[in-house]
Amino acid sequence: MNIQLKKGLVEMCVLAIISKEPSYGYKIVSDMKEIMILSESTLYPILRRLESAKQLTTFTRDYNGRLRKYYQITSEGLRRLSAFKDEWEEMKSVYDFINERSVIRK
Amino acid sequence: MKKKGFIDSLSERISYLNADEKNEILSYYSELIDDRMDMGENEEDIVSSLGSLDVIAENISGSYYHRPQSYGESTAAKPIAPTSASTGATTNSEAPVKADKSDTFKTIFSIVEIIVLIALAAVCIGVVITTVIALIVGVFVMIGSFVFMTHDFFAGLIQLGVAIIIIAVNSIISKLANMLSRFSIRRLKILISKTPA
Repeated sequence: MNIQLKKGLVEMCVLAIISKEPSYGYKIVSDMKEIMILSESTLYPILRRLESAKQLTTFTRDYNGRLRKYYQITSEGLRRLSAFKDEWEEMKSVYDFINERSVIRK
Repeated sequence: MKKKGFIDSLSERISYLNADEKNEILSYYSELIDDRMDMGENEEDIVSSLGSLDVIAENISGSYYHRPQSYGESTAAKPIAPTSASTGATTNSEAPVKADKSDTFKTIFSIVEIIVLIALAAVCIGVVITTVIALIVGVFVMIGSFVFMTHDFFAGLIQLGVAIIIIAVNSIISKLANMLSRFSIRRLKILISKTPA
């Protein structure tokens, strides 16, 4: 897959994961496994980017006597998610058109 | 490698970052390892599954600087731009151009910043050297004042006062210059490590 496209998609997946409820590093990586393998070291810069774009905020909670950092979506993040969905709705209809009209000989 | 070894080596790799940024990264990995250990995974298996420290450090340095080719939002728009242009929508096609301009601006800005920081660091180091010399002079004046006091007590006292002022003022200035030079050097290190090759 195109690397820029994939990057954008991973960001959207992370936003989608935390849109339901705040989540933490390990849980996000585990949830991602459903759709793709995302390494912890790749997730870190994504979280940072989303945070600096104010699409998510963080808070820490005590868990088992240690701190756990939670990532929470912001209204800006929700806006981006819904803009993405609208855009892809359009893309999907173009894809359907391409799919129907194209003749690929095997 | 165990968790502690991993955290220590990672800490060394990212020593160019400031304390806050460093702690943020270290606690991120520490939390991940703890969570996976709680799920019953083996400590050493977890650390080896995190991949090589080179890749981890590379990902981190990338996240502290938006390289023009990996600039999150603006380049994300690029793959879409040709589509919108070909379908006749001209409004979207402006976005990548703007992004390129801001990237150029960023690069120019960081070059200016590097030059200013180098100048600042050089001036500060000069000031530190000068003030240290002045401090040594101040100490000699102080010693001299005690000798002088045996001849003329009040003149000696005045000299002692002057010596104390010289020492105090120079201590403060050298401390400040030292802090400033450290700050600019640390900032320079970060900037240089982020500058796209």
